[in-house]
Amino acid sequence: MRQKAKELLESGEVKVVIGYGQGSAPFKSTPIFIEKPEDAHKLIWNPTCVNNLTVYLRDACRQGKAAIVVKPCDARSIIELIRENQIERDDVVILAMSCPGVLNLDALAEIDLADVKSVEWHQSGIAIKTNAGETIIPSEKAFASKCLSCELAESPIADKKFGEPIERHPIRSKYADIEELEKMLPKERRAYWARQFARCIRCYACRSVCPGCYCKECFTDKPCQLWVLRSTDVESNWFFHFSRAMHTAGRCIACGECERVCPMGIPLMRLNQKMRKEVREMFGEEAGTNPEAPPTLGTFDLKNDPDPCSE
Amino acid sequence: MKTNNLKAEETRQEKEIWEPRIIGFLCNWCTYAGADLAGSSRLKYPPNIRVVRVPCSGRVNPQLIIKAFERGFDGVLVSGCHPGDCHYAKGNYFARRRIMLLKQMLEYMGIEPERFHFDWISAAEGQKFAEVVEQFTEQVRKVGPFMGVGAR
Ligand code: SF4
Ligand code: SF4
Ligand code: SF4
Repeated sequence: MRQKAKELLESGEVKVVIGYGQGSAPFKSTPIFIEKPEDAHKLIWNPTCVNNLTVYLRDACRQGKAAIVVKPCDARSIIELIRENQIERDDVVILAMSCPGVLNLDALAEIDLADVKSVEWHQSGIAIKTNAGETIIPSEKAFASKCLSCELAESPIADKKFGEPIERHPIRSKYADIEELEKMLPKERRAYWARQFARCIRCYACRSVCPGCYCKECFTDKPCQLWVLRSTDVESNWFFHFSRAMHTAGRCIACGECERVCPMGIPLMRLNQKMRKEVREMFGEEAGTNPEAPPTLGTFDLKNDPDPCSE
Repeated sequence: MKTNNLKAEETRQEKEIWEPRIIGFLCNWCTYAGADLAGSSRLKYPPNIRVVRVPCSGRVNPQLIIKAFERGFDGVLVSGCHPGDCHYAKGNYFARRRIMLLKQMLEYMGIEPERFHFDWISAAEGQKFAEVVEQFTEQVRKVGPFMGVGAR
């Protein structure tokens, strides 16, 4: 992958390679933007490569052709960006990695973080090397929850693939969490969300990290207080989250970034997965699979769309 | 302001003078004209509905509805031209997708499904408009006052 990145920069085919670099600690990676071929060695690929880098792609492509390192799940965001005319297919070189799963930081709870030397994939999970030796964390614990329900053997879109396709055996249903909520009474669900949103500090990290939230001007940034108030009362938070969910409807590819970055631990995937489930059941569509399809809510199906009056 | 709304709600309830507060987003070309017809034909329907005239059911941004519930309305009605009759040819088809999705999500967010109603009502259907408002108002009355999205 480094070699390919180097070649792409040397030949001038791309202006920048977006990838993962070593973060501030061995168990963290950080997004890096490589512009010189001699810097290509800084690229890394291991279980700490958690971020969905496609959030940077739209702006990068405005400057010229870009190459990007992606996991299969992230690659679906590229499909969405193409589908919604945010980038051209020819503007991007997709370096698709084969991915056994990424690190769930909580898995390191019992390990002395200052002691960690490296984090590598292991056949039964993730291997953490420390001064004291090697600890193998089993898959169910080591991987992010989205990886436990991952069904993608390889990237759905790629220019060059690295590594072999992965045989998937999801050990968790992606709808497990929402089914629990679906069973409640409306009143109980309302209370559930009110409790969740009461904690939101509206830092908007969930919005900023989302590759699907690409609007230059977001309704949340409007100085007028008509739509969403500056204050973080439950009602305003509810309005913000419900709107965000409707805005990502049909384009959320369930990369889980919004939930991961939330400093308050708000279970945003419970909103996203519900939305994805409804879109699939009602319109037979799944975001991140077909770059040719018109955007879900920017089109309609005369004959097959369900009708809210005939229910 | 919202807390005031809630307080007002409680007071109204205590005094047992609670009346459902309903907001209706009606398409200018069909349902709004239908409502007009209901009025000029002197049909009776409950005064609980506040009407907002929109150019098309396709104009009804989901945020309008979300906002109405955030502000504590007891029920929201959206209505436009029948499929095939849209003044802008296909606005109501886009609306249909959005509204279907929103309907599912409202329920998932904990708004009782009885509080939201969508219907196709043409300019000639003054009678239907009166009936829909009548039925919907009763339906909302049955689920009772909406205590707000922040109620825990
Ligand atoms: S969801 Fe799948 S592709 Fe994405 S990080 Fe997890 S295992 Fe890899
Ligand atoms: S990241 Fe979390 S706290 Fe910040 S706005 Fe989003 S939900 Fe709220
Ligand atoms: S809404 Fe969350 S899960 Fe969906 S694409 Fe955006 S960041 Fe990823």
